[in-house]
Amino acid sequence: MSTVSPPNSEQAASEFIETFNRIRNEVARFIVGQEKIVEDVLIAVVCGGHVLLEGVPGLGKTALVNTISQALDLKFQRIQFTPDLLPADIVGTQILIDKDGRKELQFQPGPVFCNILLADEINRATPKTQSALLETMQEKSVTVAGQTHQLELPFFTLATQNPIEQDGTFPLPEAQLDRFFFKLFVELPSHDEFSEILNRTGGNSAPEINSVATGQDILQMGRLLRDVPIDQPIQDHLVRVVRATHPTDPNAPDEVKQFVRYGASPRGAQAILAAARARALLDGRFHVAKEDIDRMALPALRHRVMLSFEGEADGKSTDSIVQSVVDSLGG
Amino acid sequence: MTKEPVNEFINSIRTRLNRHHLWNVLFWALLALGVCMTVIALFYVIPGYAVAWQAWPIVAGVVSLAAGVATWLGRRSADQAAGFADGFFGFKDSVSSCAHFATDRREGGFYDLQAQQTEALVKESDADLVRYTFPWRLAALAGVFVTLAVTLGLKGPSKAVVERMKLEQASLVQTETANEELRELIDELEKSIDDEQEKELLDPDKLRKWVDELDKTKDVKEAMRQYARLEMKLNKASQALNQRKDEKLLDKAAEELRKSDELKSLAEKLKQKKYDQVSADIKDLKPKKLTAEDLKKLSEKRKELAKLKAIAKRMAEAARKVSSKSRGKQSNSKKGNKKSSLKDGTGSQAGKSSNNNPDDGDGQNSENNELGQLIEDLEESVEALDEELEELERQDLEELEDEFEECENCQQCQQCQQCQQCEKGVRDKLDKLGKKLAKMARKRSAQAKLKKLSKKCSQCQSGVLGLAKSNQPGGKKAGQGTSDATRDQRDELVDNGQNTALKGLKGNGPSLTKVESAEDGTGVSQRRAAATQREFKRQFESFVEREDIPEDLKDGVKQYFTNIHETESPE
Repeated sequence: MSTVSPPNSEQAASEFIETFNRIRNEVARFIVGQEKIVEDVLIAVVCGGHVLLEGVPGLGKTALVNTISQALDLKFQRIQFTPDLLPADIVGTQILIDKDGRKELQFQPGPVFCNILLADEINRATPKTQSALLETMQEKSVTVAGQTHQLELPFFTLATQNPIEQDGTFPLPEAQLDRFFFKLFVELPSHDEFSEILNRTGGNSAPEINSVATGQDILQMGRLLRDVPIDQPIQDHLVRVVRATHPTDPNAPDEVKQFVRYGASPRGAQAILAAARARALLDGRFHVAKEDIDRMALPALRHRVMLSFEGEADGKSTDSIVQSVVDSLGG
Repeated sequence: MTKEPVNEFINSIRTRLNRHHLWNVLFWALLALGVCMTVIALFYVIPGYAVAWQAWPIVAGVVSLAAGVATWLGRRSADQAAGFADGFFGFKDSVSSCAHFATDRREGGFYDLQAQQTEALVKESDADLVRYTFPWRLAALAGVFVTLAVTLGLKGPSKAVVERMKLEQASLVQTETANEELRELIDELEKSIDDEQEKELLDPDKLRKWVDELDKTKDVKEAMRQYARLEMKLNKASQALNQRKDEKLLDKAAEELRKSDELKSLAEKLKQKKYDQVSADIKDLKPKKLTAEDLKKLSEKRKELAKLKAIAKRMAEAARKVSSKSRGKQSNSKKGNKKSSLKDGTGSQAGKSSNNNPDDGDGQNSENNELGQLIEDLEESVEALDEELEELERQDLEELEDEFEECENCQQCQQCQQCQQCEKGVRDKLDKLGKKLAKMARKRSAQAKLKKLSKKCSQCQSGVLGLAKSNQPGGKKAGQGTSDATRDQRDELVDNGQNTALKGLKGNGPSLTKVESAEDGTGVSQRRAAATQREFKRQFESFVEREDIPEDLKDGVKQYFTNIHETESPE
């Protein structure tokens, strides 16, 4: 079943951990604290997933994405989403050019043609513009004027959104949300972290970030993850967790039955599995444990669970719902 | 790649877990046993009984069986043991994953790495670290319950229960003994009967069947009830043999006979109701067949007949008196019936019922008439015979002798025939009377035997009742008895003013005896009420005389008895 022999596997696993840690350490040179966020973002990157970062302004969301892009030797693009942004501004458009004396339409690629796309304040664009990213994020291709253009791999979108200042924003549709591998909350740094941020950014010189990994490294890491074995009872546990987010499931806890309208999709289960494999390797194990599933369930499912009107009215958070599911299944 | 160390580790953990499970089941079983035993013990102890130890082995067996089943069902599988090891040693599902991968034959690549990693973890770990945690609370609780149950189990029955059980046992023995005594008495009575007719009247088989129907019972009340039922049956059987009217007639006859000095002995026998002897005496008085020899001394023959004549006359006189009295009563009752029938318009039916059952008292009227008629017929026959003899006496003796000799051979002489017919009539009547008296004697004997049996039955009831009363805890309360058995020594009675002796001249005071005239067989017997009254009086007196009773209580008792009894003021 395995594609690599044990010595190669062991070496590949070691290289995985080494590369991952190298990237993490490089990011940590500029980003103070936020270890968990950084790790989760990097896990999502190696798994080929997109990340939605949510946090109040000034917490370093954009800086984090910028730093990661610098640490990886990949093409980085940033789009500041605004209400007047058009889909063509993202994916590109056809322009009329004069070629050998003849006028013809030529596709002008948009900023989406990159390896790392920073969709800053994604919820400020209109749903039409937001939807322009659907094909890009899932199929990693762009179709303009009936012609499909493949994006260069690896490709991942790191989007940010502001939980406050909701006036003039457009909440992301469920289909769009489901395409994000993780949704991460960027929280306020601690006192020491605050102080360190000031130390690092208060001077004339900022830390220089070097690229420590290539796109091929990321792709190789992603392929390696698929070989990490998972025991059938652990996989059953994963399925139970995802299914239990649905109010109709018999294993669903009362909280889910009362406050949830729709649960997570199979895409959520895929995300958890991939992330759990990455985490297992990072933990020095060659198999996925229940602990990995439970740990990755929250960032992978929190944006895939839709609260009912009662849940919204009661001020329930999807985090507490997902946590109750994990707890009820003996996580 | 060998997985042997992992398997050994899992098996080692599994063995330990199964051992721990066994211990847990044992402690739980002990607790369950203790609880069940305590419940059973309380079930017995609360009502005051001693615990039935027989129930405990059954409970122990059931609990053991349940424990065995629980042990079997709770055995840990290798999978469960691997899961436990992962949790206990913090292997993060390494052992269970490794075991499953090996079972699924997944090899190579990461699978082998995982196996190697797990083996290394297992080698570093010691299965002996999985130790049994002694369940102190559970063990203590089980110990408490078992101790409690055993303590309760050692407790004997309460005093009241012991007494009740003794009473039940005694009742059982008493009823058994009483039934046996009744059977023996019936056998004895049967043996004492020589006459088949008397045996038929008594019917010992029926009596034996009644006694066989009696059960030996622990219930004193039930025992008393069944003896009361038997007594009632015996009384009914005795009533069926009742011949009071005939006896009264014969009493009257005895009174009449006593007027003659010659017949006093017969009168005495009749008075003493020795009917069989009277029957024999009457047979002796039977006139012998008239012969030619007798013609010579007809006067002597008449003298012999005179005694029989006197007896017949006096008895007939008595029968007539009784008959006329009876007729008078019947006419009175008929009048009464007529009056009542006129009132309610059911005259014809009342009359019919009156005719059908002229004497509702005991149904003896027909027999009375029969006996009376028999005596009257006897008198007539004796009179006729006497007249015939007188007639013969008046005729010429020689001529008569000749005729008689001829007649004796030819049997055609009218005079002779009449005389012999009269003689035969007298003999027949005397035979009938003798048989009647013999039958009465048999009935009387059977009745006496039934009464004896009935008395024995009463004694059985008394025995059972005495058993019940004697075992009651505590002394008898005021108004319930006269027992002063607790008094060690008797004190001399002092004059407390409660003198009940009457002083005065004999015959001058008012009589306390009141003679009531009532019809035979009617009215209610006063004997029981009189006995009860007498018992009350004794209780009252003994209570009042006791010095250990406070005066105010005595006054209360006096007042009580004053209120419940009507006191007659002396005239």
